[in-house]
Amino acid sequence: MNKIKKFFSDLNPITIPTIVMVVICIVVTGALAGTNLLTKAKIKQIEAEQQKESMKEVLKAEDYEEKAVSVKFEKETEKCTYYVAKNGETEVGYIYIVTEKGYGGDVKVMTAVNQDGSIKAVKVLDVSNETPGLGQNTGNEEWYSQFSGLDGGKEITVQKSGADKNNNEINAVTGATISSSAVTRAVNKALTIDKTVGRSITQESEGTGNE
Amino acid sequence: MNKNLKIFTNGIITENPTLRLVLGTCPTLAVTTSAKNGIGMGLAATVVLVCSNAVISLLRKVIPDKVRIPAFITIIAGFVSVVQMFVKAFAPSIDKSLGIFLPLIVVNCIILARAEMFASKNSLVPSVLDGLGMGIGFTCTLTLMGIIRELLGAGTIGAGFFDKCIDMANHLTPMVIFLLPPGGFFVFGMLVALSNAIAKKNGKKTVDRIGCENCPSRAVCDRANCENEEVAVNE
Amino acid sequence: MNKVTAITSILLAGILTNNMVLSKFLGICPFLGVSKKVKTALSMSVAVTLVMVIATAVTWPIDTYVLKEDYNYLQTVVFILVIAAIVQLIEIVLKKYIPPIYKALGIYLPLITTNCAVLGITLINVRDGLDFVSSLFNALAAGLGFMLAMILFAGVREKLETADIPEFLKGLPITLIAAALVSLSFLGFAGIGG
Repeated sequence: MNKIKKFFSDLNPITIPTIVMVVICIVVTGALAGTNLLTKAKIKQIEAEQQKESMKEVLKAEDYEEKAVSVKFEKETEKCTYYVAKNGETEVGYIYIVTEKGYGGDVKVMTAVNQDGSIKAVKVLDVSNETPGLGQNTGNEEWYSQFSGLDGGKEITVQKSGADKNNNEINAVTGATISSSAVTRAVNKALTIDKTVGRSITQESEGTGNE
Repeated sequence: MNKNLKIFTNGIITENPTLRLVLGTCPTLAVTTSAKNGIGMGLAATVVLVCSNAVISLLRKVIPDKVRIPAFITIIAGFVSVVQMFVKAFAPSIDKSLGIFLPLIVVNCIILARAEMFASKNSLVPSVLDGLGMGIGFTCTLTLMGIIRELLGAGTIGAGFFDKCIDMANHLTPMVIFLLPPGGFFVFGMLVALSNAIAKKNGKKTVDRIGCENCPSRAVCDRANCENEEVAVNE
Repeated sequence: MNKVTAITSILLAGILTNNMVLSKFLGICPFLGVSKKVKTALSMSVAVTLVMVIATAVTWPIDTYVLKEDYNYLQTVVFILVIAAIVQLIEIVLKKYIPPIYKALGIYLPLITTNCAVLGITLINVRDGLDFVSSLFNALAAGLGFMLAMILFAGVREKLETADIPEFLKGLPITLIAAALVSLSFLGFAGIGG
């Protein structure tokens, strides 16, 4: 007993604090790893469920098949994942999820494109980094529903007001031009991916190639 | 028993952490753009506060004084990460709207201040009650600020929280400025003025500066401010 | 050339449009607590900028090469400990090798460990997936933005000392309302990005 006591009193004043800190760190790390194991599956499942729900909202189909393709953009080539919406064996459209830089951080946008290349619907998934009351209003359905039905073949542009739907224009949220443009850029990027993947395949399969 | 009750209510009213001690100003201003965010932030911080107060009070005799602050911060960071993972798993929309401020609970001075001022000097039960009281006080103020800013700035109350929120937008033109940063400072300033007025009426001290009395780094701040005054005098 | 434009826009955004204090509400404690005099505000913000850049230089590689996707649940704990250690180290190094700087900044350093702006910027850098150089510039911009806000506000507060303020607003309330007005003026920068 005395030996143990002596052992501890002999340790210099640096050793004990170090041991305590190390023990605390190990325990905390262990606890976190445990919680991570518990919640990881649930977090993944929730994310997948939410994504599926959003996909059902923009484009109703029985099944969504995940595919990947590398797309050449102006500057670089990127690997993109996209989803083919299917009813049985027939393809009904394509869904793209694109992230773009907004005002305060990233904005995440889901774009659904019809078989004929027009935009079926757009849903803004995440604008939580934008300014509340301004940029975050791009996440309201009343705003992003103006993308529905636009022509997928032409670039969509943002106007401050008085946008003409026939000219592929949309109105920016008042006071939030940057967030509105970020969302629009994401949609345009989705259309670029769409041109590289979906269209060429359908055109071949349907034999309507009008190049 | 009565003493414990007093410790509990102390945090809610007499020493309300946001309005009376003026701690945790960053999340108070940043996340209170809606009532829902206020409640979410408040509850997350309360859980961390209660857990860290409990653990630190239990370990108060084991942790050497030298590594006190790093040890406290590690324990708090551990609980924050646990809460963060649970929020992600069970309340993903709260996780999205609180964003970066969820992990930043680590550096919320309310938590470190209570660990330093209370939990490291008291036994388990009072420490837990103190954490609970302070947490509830924090939640109440944040929710109140959230309600005010949401009502004036967006014209709704409890949007995203109740399925059918109260929408006043038809009777009251929303003033977006209240959702923006200046609105946060302004509403908080007015609330502090109100709480000061009430305190004065009851013969209590009014707060004239940010929560230095209860901040763990107060001594350093004071020195910073003092040293400057000395320099000014010398000049 | 493209790089230069990208970095300029990071600097402009960090200093003006996405100002740390006035639009992200990070680092409010020192903003309200250590801003009574312009000189104190300046020293404090120099110290914060220094720690922000060094902290980013250390945490970014740790997150990218050590934590990766698999262990990012340890992010908060690792980052805060790294920042605490860095602050200690900077203090020791300055004290030993550059005493004049230590004399000017030394007392502000301990304050920075629990400054949410420092932890905030390191987390924001990895969350937004910035590359190493952009992260460093983002940290620098955040620090400079903090400095600008601190100095402007200290200037306002020095004037407030002699102003005639209604009784019920005296003390903290008028400081907060002054902060509201300063942040209102920063809203005007929002138009810069187009």
